[in-house]
Amino acid sequence: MPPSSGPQARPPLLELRGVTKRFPGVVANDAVDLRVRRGEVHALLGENGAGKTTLVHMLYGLQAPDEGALLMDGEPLALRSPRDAKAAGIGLVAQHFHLARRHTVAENLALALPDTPAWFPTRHLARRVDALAERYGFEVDLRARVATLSPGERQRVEILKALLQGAEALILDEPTSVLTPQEAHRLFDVLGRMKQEGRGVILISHKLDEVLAVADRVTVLRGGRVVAQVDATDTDAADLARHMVGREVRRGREAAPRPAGDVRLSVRDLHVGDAAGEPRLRGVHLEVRAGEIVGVAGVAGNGQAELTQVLTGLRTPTAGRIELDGADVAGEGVRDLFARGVVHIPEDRNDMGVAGGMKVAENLVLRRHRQAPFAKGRMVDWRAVDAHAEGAIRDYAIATPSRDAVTRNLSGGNVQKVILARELGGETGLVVASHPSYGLDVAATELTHDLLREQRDGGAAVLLVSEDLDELLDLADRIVVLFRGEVTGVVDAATATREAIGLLMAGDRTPLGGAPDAPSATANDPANDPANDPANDPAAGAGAE
Amino acid sequence: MNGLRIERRGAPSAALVWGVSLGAVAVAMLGTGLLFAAFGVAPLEAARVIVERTILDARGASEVVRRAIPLMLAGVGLTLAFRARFWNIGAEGQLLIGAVAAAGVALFVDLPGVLTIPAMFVVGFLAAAAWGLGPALLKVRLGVNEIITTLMLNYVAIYLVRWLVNGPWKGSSLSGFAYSDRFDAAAILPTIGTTRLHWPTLVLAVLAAVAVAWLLARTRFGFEVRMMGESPEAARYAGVDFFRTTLILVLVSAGAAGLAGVGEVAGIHHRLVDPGSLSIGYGYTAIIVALLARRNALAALVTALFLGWVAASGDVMQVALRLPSQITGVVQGLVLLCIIAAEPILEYRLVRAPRRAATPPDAAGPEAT
Amino acid sequence: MDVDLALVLTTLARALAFSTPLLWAALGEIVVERAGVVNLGVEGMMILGALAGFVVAQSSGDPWLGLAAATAAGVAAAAVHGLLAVVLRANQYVSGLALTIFGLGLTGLIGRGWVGRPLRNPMEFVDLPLLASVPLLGPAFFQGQYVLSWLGLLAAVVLWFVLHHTRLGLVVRSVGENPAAADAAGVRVLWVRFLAVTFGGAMAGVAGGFLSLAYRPSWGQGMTNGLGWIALALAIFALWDPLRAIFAALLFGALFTLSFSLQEFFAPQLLTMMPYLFTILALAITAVRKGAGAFGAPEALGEPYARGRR
Repeated sequence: MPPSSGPQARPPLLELRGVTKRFPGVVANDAVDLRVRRGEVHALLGENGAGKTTLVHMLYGLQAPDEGALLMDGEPLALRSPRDAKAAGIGLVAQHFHLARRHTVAENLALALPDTPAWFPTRHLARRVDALAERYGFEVDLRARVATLSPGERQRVEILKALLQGAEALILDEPTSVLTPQEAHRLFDVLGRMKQEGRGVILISHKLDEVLAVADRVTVLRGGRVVAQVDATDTDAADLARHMVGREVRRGREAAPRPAGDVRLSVRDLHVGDAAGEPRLRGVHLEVRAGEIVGVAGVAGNGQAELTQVLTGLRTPTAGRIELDGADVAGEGVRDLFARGVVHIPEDRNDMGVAGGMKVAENLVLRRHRQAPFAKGRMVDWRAVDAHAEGAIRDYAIATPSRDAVTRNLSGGNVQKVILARELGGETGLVVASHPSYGLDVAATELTHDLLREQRDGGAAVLLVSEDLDELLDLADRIVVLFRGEVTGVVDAATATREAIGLLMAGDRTPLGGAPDAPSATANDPANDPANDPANDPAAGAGAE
Repeated sequence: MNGLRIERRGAPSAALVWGVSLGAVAVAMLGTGLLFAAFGVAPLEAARVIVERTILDARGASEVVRRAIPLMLAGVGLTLAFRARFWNIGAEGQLLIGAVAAAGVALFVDLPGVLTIPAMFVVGFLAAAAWGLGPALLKVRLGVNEIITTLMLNYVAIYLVRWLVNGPWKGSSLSGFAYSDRFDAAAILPTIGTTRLHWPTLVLAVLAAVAVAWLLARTRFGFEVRMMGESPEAARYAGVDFFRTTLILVLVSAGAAGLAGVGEVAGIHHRLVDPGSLSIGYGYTAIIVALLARRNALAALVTALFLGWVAASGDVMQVALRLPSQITGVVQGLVLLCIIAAEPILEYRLVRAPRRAATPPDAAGPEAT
Repeated sequence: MDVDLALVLTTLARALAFSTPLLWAALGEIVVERAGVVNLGVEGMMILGALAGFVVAQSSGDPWLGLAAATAAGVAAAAVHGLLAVVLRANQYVSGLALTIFGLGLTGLIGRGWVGRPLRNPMEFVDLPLLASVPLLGPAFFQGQYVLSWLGLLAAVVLWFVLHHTRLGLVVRSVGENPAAADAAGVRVLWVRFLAVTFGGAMAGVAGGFLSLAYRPSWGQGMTNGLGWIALALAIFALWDPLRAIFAALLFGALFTLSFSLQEFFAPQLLTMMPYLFTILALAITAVRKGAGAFGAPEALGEPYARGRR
């Protein structure tokens, strides 16, 4: 029970009145009103591009609103920098932690605090931290180096930092995207304590379940506007989802025109470790057939990246079998796999997908330069490269001054078109697409989706890794859910619900209603129905960007 | 920041690149003029004397070219290494090792006369390439900074040559001087007329530049080298074999510097001499050659001529203007400093900012999480 | 036995003198690199310091005034690097290299008139009171040494303390580890980095001054002879830790001194190669150790910082 339940008693802790922020060509926030009371967790819900980040930037002094006012405890507030925000009692726990990894926790805290002593800067910290840690049920080892901490522990350091700076209002930006459910629960406990102390919490999220679980009030943003502001007790997931997406029914889901064919990709008991030897994939089973799209869902960091890397030859598995059209290809490198038709639309399109400083024409053959007609012996046939570039620029409507333009200067959508043209323009067997529409505008997203469907219809096996559940539900035939490097379930995308997938993403294998085929959560039982195939896919999620 | 903001620009146009490079050189020349004045030499008068005795005089011009020859060879090699961001600072040592190997062939190997010179070039190339192998392996296998290792090997090479000419290879005919015996005629490169322009090495340098340019522009290997330099991640994604590619390009780069060393002993000195006389820092100047050429092998021929002219002018200044020879080093350093100071002009531009710029220039995107 | 002991003590004593310029320059570079900047211009800053120190000491007769000039010259040269590499975000490697080439050229030019003339009033060997009479340690380190050698050891301890136990040190290290985090904490990243670079210049200037005012004491063209580059490698070998730098520098000094007692077996030219080969060896060892998980380079080393770019 929040102590300040008498709502009219005092002004809200933090209030936005009619705040508008425009960027060239976009209204990021349009007359947004937001009231955060003391003693409440206020969730800010919205899809990618809904305007959440801009709102946070304004609350934290990183950007100034074009119109509207910001009030704290009823007093107008002008924030020119994060410093002002901190001084006013606004704290931010960003998605990317601002921590020096090789510093100790104490050193990171000392760096951030304004009253750090000049000599032995960490000397007074223990006392202050102990007091806070006790109040909030933390355990923090001040002498531990940040590099040795888990994401959840690092997040607690960030929270501690904000508390030490005297944050009355704490903004958490997608705080659970890097957390295990256990860690998330500990976080929610901490938020509960903060409520009791009369602080306010703004929780940015696009996860309905967690919002319903911890928030007192929910504000839903869509297209930069507030479309709903409700008490958490008066709503449910379906209601919130409708507000977020703006429609009841998903947009044009097109099923495959014909049933899937033979198994093209078969992954059996795949294990992968990271550089430190920690397991990242643990016994993944997965199948993708010709003519189907298999989606991979999961919270960021549950093995999705490792799965795509292994399948495309960027990483070597520690154990397990990968079969492509019947041949064992585990351990083959990028070059061999590409020659077998494994194409890859990488998550990091600007650094990995293209060499930014090279010409568009060159990037259009970046991986195909060893194949005819671009390779002539040990030479590159530039006439063929240029001819190909002209064709690709025309066919994919790549907006570039010329084929010789430097690729770095293209927009994100056009860089993606270059990658799509290159990867999908030749022979394809397995298409691995990682967050292919992230950050793209509507038109480019649609093109990407159309091309992936085209691949499916042409008989390729498509593996689609995405953090966008709508994208998965629209495109995929089946969705494989990864949790901590294991497949927790496979669902039929035509009938699956967000709730069911959400549970699987949290490691809960109990299928919820809405998935009529009752997909067995055990990844290993090969049901005959293709919808239930043990497609244990790799990763789901989109990393915290 | 009232109304002005710095932003990254796209690819600079060729005209801008040339303009900025020439501008940087001009500023460096201006600085040199000031130095002249500081030494009591009228800058314009000095310029007149230098131009007269280098460019307008046939013999002077030949000196410019012969100074440029080792710079071309070493510089062309460096353009290749720098393309893949392998910062080979060891051309000086590689040049010396090439010279040592060639001298070894000339002094101690009995070959039919026509084969001597080709053998010297081949062995010089191979020895220098081997000299570059260590840093290359340490870099690709252990990640050891190649700048320091290649540079340290320069000193090792210097003392190696010094030891040879003072010890085992010390000439028998000239006691008291630290150099080897004179090569046989078969081991001496022909020159044009009475000049010191050993034209076979010049031909080799031009061929090397064409070959490297061709390698980079036409072959799959060159395409992959450029990928590595532009974006290591993209190169990995494209399946480039970093180990093999790095090794090959370092061997070629070091070998080219070795050829320069062969040319110096076979074309100029006709014996192995003290490292200080053998190379007047050609290996270091070649770094400037490669950077000024913006890592373009053919352009390195031009920039090598420019820096060869600077070196030849140094000789003129010493004789005609009684200025110390070290002025060459100062001019080189100034040129390099001016080039990198001008670099931001190519990478960024000033633009008029909208009324209220987003506070952190790039962080502010409209896309939400 | 007695003879051996005497040899060990003499070797140590000479090692300390030889390691002094390495230590000063390496300490400076450690601070610079801890702040996230690489300065390959150590050799150039040292040689400028050596000449400036010599010229001022020769004309004023006061070697300490010369040392001040050496320091100032190092700072001025470093400021060029700071401007190019930190403020203008030019390529740090090329900028440092340019500084070295420029420094070697300029000193060769200006210093021509001073070549071969001994310094009229050089820094002298002194005994450190009290400590000089300690058995073993006294003869090894505290008798007949230059004051700058001891000050170098002291500087290492002070720098270690400052880096690890003061707010200033925390700020410097943070700027080199995660400049964005430091920026978010209100640190003026570029300014801190620039100052760190100039501090490195001051230290390199002292190192150069030591050569021309005490160790040699004279001026010779290119007299640093690669010591600046060795110092750069030492900073890495010491894993960017000032206290380890003491031992790294002494180790180098000892190896170098020892190699000269092999003169009857090897030509001097071959012995002179030793420090350079040790350096490569030391870097290789460091790389192997790093692979085993020891602390490596500052995380943002060599990366120019621009706000808002990741």
